[in-house]
Amino acid sequence: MQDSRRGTGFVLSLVLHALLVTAGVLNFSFNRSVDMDKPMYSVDLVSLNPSEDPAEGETGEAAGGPPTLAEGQPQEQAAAATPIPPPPAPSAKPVPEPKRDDSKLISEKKVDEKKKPEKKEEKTPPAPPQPAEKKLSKEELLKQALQDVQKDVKDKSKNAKPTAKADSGKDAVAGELAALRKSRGGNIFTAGGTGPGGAGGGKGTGAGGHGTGIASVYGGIVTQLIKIHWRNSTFGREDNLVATLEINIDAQGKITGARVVKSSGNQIFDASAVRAAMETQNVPPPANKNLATLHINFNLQEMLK
Amino acid sequence: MKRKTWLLTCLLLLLFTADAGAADIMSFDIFGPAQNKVNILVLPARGPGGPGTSALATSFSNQVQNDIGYLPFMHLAYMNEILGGDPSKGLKADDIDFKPLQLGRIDFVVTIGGRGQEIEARVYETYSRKLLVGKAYSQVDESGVPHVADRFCAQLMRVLTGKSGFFDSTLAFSKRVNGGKELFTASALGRGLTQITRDGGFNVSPSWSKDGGRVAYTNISDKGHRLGIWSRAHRSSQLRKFPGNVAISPTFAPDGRIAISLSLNGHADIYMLDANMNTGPALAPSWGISVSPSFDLTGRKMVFCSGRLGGPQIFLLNRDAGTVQRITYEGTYNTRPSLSPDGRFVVFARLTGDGQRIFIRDLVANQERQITFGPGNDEDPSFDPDGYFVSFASTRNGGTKIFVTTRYGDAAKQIPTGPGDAMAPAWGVAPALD
Repeated sequence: MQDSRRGTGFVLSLVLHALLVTAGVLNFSFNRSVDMDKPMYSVDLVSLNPSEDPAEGETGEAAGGPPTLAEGQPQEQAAAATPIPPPPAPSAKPVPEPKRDDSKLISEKKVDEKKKPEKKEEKTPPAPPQPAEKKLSKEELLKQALQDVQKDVKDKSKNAKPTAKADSGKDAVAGELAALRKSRGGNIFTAGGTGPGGAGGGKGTGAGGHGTGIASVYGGIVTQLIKIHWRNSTFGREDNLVATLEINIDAQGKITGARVVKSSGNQIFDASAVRAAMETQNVPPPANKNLATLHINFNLQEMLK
Repeated sequence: MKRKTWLLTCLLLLLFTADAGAADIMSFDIFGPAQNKVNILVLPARGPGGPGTSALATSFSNQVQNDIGYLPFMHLAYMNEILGGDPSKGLKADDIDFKPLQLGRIDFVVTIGGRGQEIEARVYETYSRKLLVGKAYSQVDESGVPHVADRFCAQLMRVLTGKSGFFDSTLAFSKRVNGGKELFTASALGRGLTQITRDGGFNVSPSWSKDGGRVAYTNISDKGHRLGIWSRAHRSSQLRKFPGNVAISPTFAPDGRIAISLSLNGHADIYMLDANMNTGPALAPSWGISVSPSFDLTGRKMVFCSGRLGGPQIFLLNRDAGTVQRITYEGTYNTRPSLSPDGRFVVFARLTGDGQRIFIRDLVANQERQITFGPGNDEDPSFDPDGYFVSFASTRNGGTKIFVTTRYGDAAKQIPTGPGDAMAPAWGVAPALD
């Protein structure tokens, strides 16, 4: 009896310790502080890649695998730009024709030029294309063209020289950025936050490691907007006061609250910081929950204008 | 036993999960406000019968607004900037609707009330609605209103900035009288204009002692150069002759001694006088002339103008080490330096293509910038006791008048000194006479 109790106790103790160690390690990794001084902006562009599976952002795979851009991107663009009807029933015979011409450019511009594929088809001598051409709607044509482009990109990535690869990659990224800007009013961090890649971004350095860049960009924009509204006299700047405010932002980007979490010791200075935050009223919507609460240090720095 | 163990395990798990799920709060910095002026509004003065029913309170309100106009870090707002007009029904916080003030971006609001010879004035911070300054003055008559308004604004400035030298100090300056020049004093707002010397000849280059009890100056007459010392206690001055032809730009050091430029060896050098007015060794001897000494509050640093390297330039003497460092390299004619009390900034006059202009040099950042822009000539700069305001003489409005700006080069404002030219202003910490 005693032996069995001892055994159970030992096992429980072992499990408990193992849990403690595991939890400790996990906790450490989740709460790792973000070093804002590190220039991580180069990572931002990678994080903007909207991967197919939102879970990829969580696991960090999407962030780690850069060249998957070409495949996922055009589909995303097509989905965002046009409400594509179900796959077209009519014959897809004319499709191979534009393939050759359009394969050189992958950018959004090419996709937007809706008339071009038609013109090129006209040029082609064989007889059958004309009736089929009339049957296809613009959207269908676009979709087919995109599919060809994807195919071509795939082929290129396999066969072409490294320089061509780089070019197509660049175009793809440029196209994606253009699409994001278009769909989100030119707000890169907003697009990154709401897209599939944004899920990983929200985890900061804990998951995927590409949230820090977006956060720093967002923080920079918010602080610039608040700074514009900050009024304080230059007189007595040698005091070098610092007040830290906690600022809450709702999903629409409205500043819902600002409170002093660390006073400068000067109530008038603290009040000027709160006024600045509240007068700002609206900032761009935060990309994720972690950015809904910011700590902003208001520094009164002595220097000549 | 088992239950306890499981309970403990679950608790630990919960603890760590909750902690791990807590959101990281990002921290950012803002360095310095974008706007260096705060908005202040003076609400209509109220009497027993409502706004505008007390002449004394209205006069006080006008004086306060005039005083605020001298402070470049404050923007005086007007009632028409406020949605719905006067948002107050009384003088206290409960009587004020702060919402339209907040919408109008007003940072501070002043309420003024008067009854008979009594005046009460308050300043509130509009967001927190906190009372910053609350003052009541009794037995005030119309002639005393400017003085009371100055005291109130000095208190407001002290609360907002920790300093009030602008309102608490006195200017001494040289003014044309009967074909000569005599010394006058007045507050920085031109109040209490008083002639303090009647020596005849030309009294120039006044300098206050640290306690504001004396003014040293140069008297130039047919008897040559003489050192003049005016005493506030005795309301009289004494003149003293020194060997040589030159006795100019006397300046009080913080220890009460006087540094003066004398030509004991054929050219002007700066000497420190002892209590008996005897000269010691030259402070920064050279073959060229040295004039216009100015000290920081410790007395360890002294800036001066010297022609030791050719044209007049500004130099800094470290009195502990005995080293002399050249300060100005731009321009060929830099004169009349004034050192800020903390020893960080030097203001001086430079001859430019457009005339004399005032420049400031930051000795720490090693940067220089122009702070006055004419027209005419801007000369004789002098720091106030806080090292923030800079007074100077300018011919921009015709005759020579005294103006005040800040070390940041804010718009200069003329100080009323009555008819006649006024020049060579010097700040003293003493309150204005009478």
